[in-house]
Amino acid sequence: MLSRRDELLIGLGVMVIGAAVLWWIIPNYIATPRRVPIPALSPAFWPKIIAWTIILCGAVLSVRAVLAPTPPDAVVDDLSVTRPEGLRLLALGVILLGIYFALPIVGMVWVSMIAFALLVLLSGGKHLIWGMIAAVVLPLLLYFFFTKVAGVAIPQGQIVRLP
Amino acid sequence: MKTSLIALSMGVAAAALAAPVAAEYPTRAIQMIIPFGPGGATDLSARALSTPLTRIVPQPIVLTNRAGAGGATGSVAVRDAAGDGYTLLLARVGSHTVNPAMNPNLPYTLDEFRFVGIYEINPVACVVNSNSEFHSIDDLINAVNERPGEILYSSSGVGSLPHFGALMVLDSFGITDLDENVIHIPTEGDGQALTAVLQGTSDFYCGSTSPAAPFINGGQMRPLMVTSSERLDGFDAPTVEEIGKPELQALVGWTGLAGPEDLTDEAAEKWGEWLAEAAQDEDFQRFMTSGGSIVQVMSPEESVEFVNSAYESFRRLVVALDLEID
Amino acid sequence: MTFIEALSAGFVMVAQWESILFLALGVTIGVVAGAIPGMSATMAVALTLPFTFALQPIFGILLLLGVYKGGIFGGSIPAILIKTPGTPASSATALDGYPMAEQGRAGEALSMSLYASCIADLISNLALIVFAAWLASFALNFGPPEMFTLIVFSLTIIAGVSGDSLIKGVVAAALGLLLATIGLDFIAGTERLTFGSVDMRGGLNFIAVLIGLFALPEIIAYMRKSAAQDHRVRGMGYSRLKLADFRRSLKSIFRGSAIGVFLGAIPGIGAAPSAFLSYSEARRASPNRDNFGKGEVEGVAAAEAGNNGVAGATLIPLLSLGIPGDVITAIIIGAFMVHNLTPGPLLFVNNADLVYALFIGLIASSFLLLIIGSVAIRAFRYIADVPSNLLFPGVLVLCIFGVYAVNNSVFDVAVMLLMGVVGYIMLILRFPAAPFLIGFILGPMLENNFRQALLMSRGDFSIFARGPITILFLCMTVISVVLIIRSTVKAARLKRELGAYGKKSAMQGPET
Repeated sequence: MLSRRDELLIGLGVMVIGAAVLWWIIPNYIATPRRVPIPALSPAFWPKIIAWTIILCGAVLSVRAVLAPTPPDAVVDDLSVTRPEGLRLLALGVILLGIYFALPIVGMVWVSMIAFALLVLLSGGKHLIWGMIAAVVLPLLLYFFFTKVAGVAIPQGQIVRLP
Repeated sequence: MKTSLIALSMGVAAAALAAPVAAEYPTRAIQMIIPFGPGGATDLSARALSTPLTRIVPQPIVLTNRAGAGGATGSVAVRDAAGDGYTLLLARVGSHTVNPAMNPNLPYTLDEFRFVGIYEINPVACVVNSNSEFHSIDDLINAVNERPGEILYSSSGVGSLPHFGALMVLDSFGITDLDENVIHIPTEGDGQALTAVLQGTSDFYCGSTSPAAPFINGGQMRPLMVTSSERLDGFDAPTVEEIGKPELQALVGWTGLAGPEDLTDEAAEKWGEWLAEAAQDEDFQRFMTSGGSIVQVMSPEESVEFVNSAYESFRRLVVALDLEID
Repeated sequence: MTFIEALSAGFVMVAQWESILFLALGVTIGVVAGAIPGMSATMAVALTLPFTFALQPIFGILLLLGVYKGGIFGGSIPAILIKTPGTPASSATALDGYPMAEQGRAGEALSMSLYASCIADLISNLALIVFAAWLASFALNFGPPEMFTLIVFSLTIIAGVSGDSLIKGVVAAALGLLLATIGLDFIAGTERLTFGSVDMRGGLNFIAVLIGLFALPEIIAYMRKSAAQDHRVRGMGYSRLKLADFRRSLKSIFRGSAIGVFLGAIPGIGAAPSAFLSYSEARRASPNRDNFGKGEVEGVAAAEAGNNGVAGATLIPLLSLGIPGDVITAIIIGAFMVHNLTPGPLLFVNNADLVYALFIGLIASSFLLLIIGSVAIRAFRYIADVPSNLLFPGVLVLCIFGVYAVNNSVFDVAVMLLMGVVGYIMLILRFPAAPFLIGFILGPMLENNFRQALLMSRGDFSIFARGPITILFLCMTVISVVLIIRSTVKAARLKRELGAYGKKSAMQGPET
């Protein structure tokens, strides 16, 4: 259960998303062909219906948040993020971005090893030795399974190539 | 037959274990990208070809499906790959003739690929449901003339061979204003396009013989014409020559191997030899002919000429009839 | 050949020890491959195909069918243990399976999933044998208008998986539908929402979206809290399924199997709508409906029954008409063709012995699945004992490899990671993930069939009421919507009267 203020903000946010899709994204990023014999066959037809649905639902969410009785504090979940939590989320975001950008350069196996090890450290570093062993063994196992058994070319990167 | 399986697996194992001594191409596994999903005509053709190739090519061959956008996703992946011969494309009529001819917004052009060789020619057949009122291509043409805007045809998508094929056939019979006079029902693949004919959603389909072959053999569908120069086994229908439209012989499907534009001469040369040798394999030939295809290996020069002339003739028609996708 | 002769000839074919061996080998490969995210049943079947070229037809086809059956069950293992469904269909299993695993009841969920799978598989195979001809002619009546109305009706299951807020479920479903419109336009061939990217022209890969949406938010949520929360051991997966639980789930299993058979026989629908429809029907009918989504064993049973009930039925259009109902059966057609066998009506005339051998083999496969599946469960449930701070990094690595392997695309990995963030935001803002997924899966079917139907009728909307099937589905849709609105309003009033937010037990249906 979220607080009334949070629910209201969500409702308004949903409406903003729907409006952005309807009046900004659809006109700019959906190409409509020169001749559309039947309006319902236009490429923008369904996206427009969906956008209106989103706007309508956002409005219902907002109205409901205003009209509903305030829930007692005891059952309201707090959406705020504490400082250590925020830092960990930030670190995780950096790791995820790093995974994507390092993949073609470093190769999937090495990236996975580093990501695994970093996540073990980030989550408190318990079972550290087992974690490090798993960080090395799991990507190697997956690599050999996918390349040798399943015939999938796992990206190797430009630095160290595995057989 | 079992020995071939053992030989195949031994070949793979030996190739994987023995570290290459000579530095000449290839020194590691070669990736062949299929720009369509598993189970499609291109995929089956590629997998059938890879069986004899594995025995011939000294390194393992990795078949990779990179489906999406009518073959564009996989084609672009190969175009952007290094030309060292370790990434090759299974090019197909849809991705490398019809789509380039119809779609000016395609993210690649034919010049960006170096053709190694075409190995399969796939004639086109026009088929209808066996309880359809149409018994010959003339019946169909008459119906379009009498009831404009009521005859439907299905295809495997916008810019696919069956989409273009139906239009080209109708045009050759003098039907104008194709947009108005016949209705195109795109589907998500040849299987669905033929299902539409089978259940009556669509009146006819003009596409590759291989996906249609089971329905013809099973008596559920009837061929009206084929674009091959001679009559095909199992397809009891006149050729385009017999019905007086020899120009329709240009309407054929094909499958071939291509690399990026800067593919090395060494790799291209080797692949030319390997392809010619692999196409001799009996199992491979049996599999291809069972689907109505003709195994025919062309040299790189012949392949380029073949693809370009097909492209030119398709492109002329697209411009003349204003079929471009915008 | 008479029926008895064909049957006995078929029996002789299957009774060879090699048949059983290849079938068992297939089921084993399938279960293992299905259990690895990214190595779905489809891919396992495609990889096995070239090896069948050199085998006798019956062995080759039994091998492929074994992989298919095994793969579909195998997909439920990671869905339950690590909330990483390998196929859209097994994501319905994750809805209740994963909460059960978190409560230390992984063993129970896995056993239920296996039993439900085997029973549904057996029912589906029997339906194939008994009703093939009848269901095939029924399936041929499903043109685009019929498909469209069926999918509109299927969208009403969103109400069943929306959790606390129906409106938020609808928003999530709408976002899923919107995401599904990315790619080349189906009719015009123009670009839609691709933002100029070549990778997006083909649309977003649904395995990438699915894994990003289900598995990654769990990892992000764990990472955020990890230091604060004690490393609770999730407990052994040895909990046993109680006979009473099994017995009360039987009705849902049978209902799910029937839904699976029905939807499986119609080409082009696939297992995911069936699994979700079965789940939502089970929830509607169950006295424990409040517990659905929180670790209800009946939910696992219903989802798996709906998923596996499709497996035998997809062979109905394949064998009797030669139509592939999904990607897997399209590959299996290839295996028939290599051996000069033509799936379709003539197969029953020319190769009746082979058809009956297949039927007997299929029945045997249900029992083999039971044996091999219970061995697999024993082996895999140790995953439930892995400490969380090693499990979650491992899941991330597994997802990266698996998602890449589906289409050999680094772009798909990016989609998965991004969807993980979207999924996490949805999680904290209390938007349910399941409706999003349903919208994403059904979106293209909904739109394409709608547009095909209008092409057929040249823009005349009356085609959507052209026959008894469309009218039936339209009526069912209206009834469903009325029931949903009524129960929603009732629940809201009840809640207001009680005035207490803590008393969740008072809420019967989804709240508006």
